[in-house]
Amino acid sequence: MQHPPPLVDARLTEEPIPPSLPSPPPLNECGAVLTFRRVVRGTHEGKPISAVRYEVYEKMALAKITEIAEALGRNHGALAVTVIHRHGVIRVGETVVYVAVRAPTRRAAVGCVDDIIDVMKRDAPIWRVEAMP
Amino acid sequence: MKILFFAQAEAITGCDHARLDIDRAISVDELWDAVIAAFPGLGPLRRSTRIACNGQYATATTRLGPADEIALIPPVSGG
Repeated sequence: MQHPPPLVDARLTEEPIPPSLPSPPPLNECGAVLTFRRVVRGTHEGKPISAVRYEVYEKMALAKITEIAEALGRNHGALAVTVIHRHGVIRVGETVVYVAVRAPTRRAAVGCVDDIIDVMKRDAPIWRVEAMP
Repeated sequence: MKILFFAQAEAITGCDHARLDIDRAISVDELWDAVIAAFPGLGPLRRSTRIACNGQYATATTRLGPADEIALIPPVSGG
């Protein structure tokens, strides 16, 4: 069955991603809201670090993230998908990527978030280029 | 033809872009030959690095024109 495309909000930012964000718009058909944050670890190759730096090919990355969110949201029957990826210098503990999905079921929401992260790690032109002591 | 470099490609070339004197449409293989002739240090990246043309990943059959925005996309590590 072909699902309709989800509402998609995809962004790139150099600013810190706030600890709390409004979840995607409420929709009557949704039974699950799942948010995921990937944060900067305090070590790199066994050594303590204070921050990392991410580089991005901004024009292509935004289009690619939007395409990934739309395609995988549709595959899983999600109704709304938000993806925010940060770049520049990001301190330990801060959020690198935020994904929020509203879907009819838990299984759909979990699968959608998992797939979005996997495909972004493979296809979004974003690089972790430096770990800072 | 303008070529953008990111991550390892930028570290190797020491610049974020370059212009190659190419005035016709070429294949991805021909692009790599020209890029490596200009920047021999990029040779080891050829097997792992993808080419993007105007924001889309190129395939073996994509033709790259002089006015296209070309980018070398080393293995990514976002997400």
